[in-house]
Amino acid sequence: MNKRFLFAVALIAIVAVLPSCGKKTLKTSPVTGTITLDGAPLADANIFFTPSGGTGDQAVGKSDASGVYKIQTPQGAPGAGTTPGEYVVTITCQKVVKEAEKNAEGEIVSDEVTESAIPKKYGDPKQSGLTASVVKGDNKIDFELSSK
Amino acid sequence: MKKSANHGFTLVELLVVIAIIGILIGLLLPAVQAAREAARRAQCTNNMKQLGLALANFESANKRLPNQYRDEFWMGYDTGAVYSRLTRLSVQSLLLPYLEQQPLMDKITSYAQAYKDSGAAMPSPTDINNTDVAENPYKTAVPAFICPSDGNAASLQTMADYFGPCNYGCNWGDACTANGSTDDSAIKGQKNRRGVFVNGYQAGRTTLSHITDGTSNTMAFGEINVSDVLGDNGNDYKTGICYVTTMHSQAPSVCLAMRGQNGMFVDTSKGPYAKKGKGWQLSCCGWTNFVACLPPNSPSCAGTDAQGENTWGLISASSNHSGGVNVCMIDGSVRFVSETIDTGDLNTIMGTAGQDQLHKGPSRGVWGAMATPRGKETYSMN
Repeated sequence: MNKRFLFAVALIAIVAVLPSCGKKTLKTSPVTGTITLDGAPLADANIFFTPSGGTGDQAVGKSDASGVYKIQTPQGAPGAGTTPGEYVVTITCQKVVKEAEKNAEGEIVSDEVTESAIPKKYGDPKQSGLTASVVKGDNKIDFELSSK
Repeated sequence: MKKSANHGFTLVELLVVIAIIGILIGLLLPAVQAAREAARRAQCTNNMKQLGLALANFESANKRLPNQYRDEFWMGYDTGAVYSRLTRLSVQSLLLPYLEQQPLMDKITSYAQAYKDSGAAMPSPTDINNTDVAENPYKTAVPAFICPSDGNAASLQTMADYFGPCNYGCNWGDACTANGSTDDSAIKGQKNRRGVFVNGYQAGRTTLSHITDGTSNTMAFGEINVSDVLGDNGNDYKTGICYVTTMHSQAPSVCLAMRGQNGMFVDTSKGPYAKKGKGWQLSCCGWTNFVACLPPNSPSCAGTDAQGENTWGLISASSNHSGGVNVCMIDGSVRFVSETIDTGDLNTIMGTAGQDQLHKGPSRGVWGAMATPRGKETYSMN
């Protein structure tokens, strides 16, 4: 009885362990916050998180009309955030100053012209001066940019 | 106790056995369901292999690889007009005779010859309402270009008023690229592409000897999803092409940020967006191509024009197979590429139109290395 019982328990244990042999997913922590330029919310800005320490995963986000962003990794769900670690943060924001021109047949003859709505240093990882440390759990990290 | 054990199982033992059988069935059932998709996927892989063979046969017959824009074959039908309608016909269209579609090829060439002889302006290959010919050749669905796993493509096959869909895109390199437009600036952009099928303006002929990274290390085709023409307005991020201002000079991850909830783009207000895999005939942004920059099954984005037909596009490979896409190397071998493939630093910006991207450019990891024929990168798939 005892041997048979042990055998059954072992079988159940093996079957129970089987499903866990799946693919690994990143253990991400949500990161959100507000981007402001001279105190006003900055819409349509792209924000990039690039790991600067040994840990972390690249992530990206886009700010909405009220300047609020959420970041995600390439394979992660929208707004799922990134893994804990130290990050260099870069921000870019392009505004269209001239629309694209089309010919009579609707084909583009000249590309649209855009310019950066914020100082370009914020888009350069060496000069942005923006950093973030993502910790386990919810993160709220605001970025205050200055146009000077 | 010993005596009763000889007579049969106890209740506990019976329950344990039943539980084990239940768990085993639970494990098996999804496998049975997955068998259908596995069959479709096998067919899909087979189609891709046929495309690879067609490419090899084209190379044998012509001693060159097809050009994705201004191919010399189509330029032979050039009307000498400012802008010939045939210059934008795709690599896929050139492979038709090698996919047992010679009658369809004849239909296009006789039609083109008629225009060349008469000197009249030819309707655009993008014109679905073109009634000049009794039957628009581009409306023919070619089974070899359709992956059975893609339900949208399968249903398009049966609809009369749409172009023949295309699930197998050409490798356009590892950076955002322009395509056949009319003016010089776009052509300059063409010159800088890092993919296999370059355009007729720059290199003339590409031969296998130009693939210095090796034909088994460089992709020829990859899967792209076809849009649901009736339903989603191009808002599905795997099948649509989102509008992102000056995509070509931004970081590829900008496009990743366009991925929203429920498989849709984050901003659905700017639609209807352009659609991927719309027709096999045109080598324009997203119709018959992909860019190996963002990992498989990522969103696609294009700048300048929401229609995405002649603009810079970052078209991601995508499929309905779980976990990745099939790609066909130039040597004809088909491999499965996982969504988690190394893509390098996606936060670095792509080069702009004027830069020479042919020999330099930010590294896009293994995925990017598979896309460039002369990148001088070495990589291991595993």
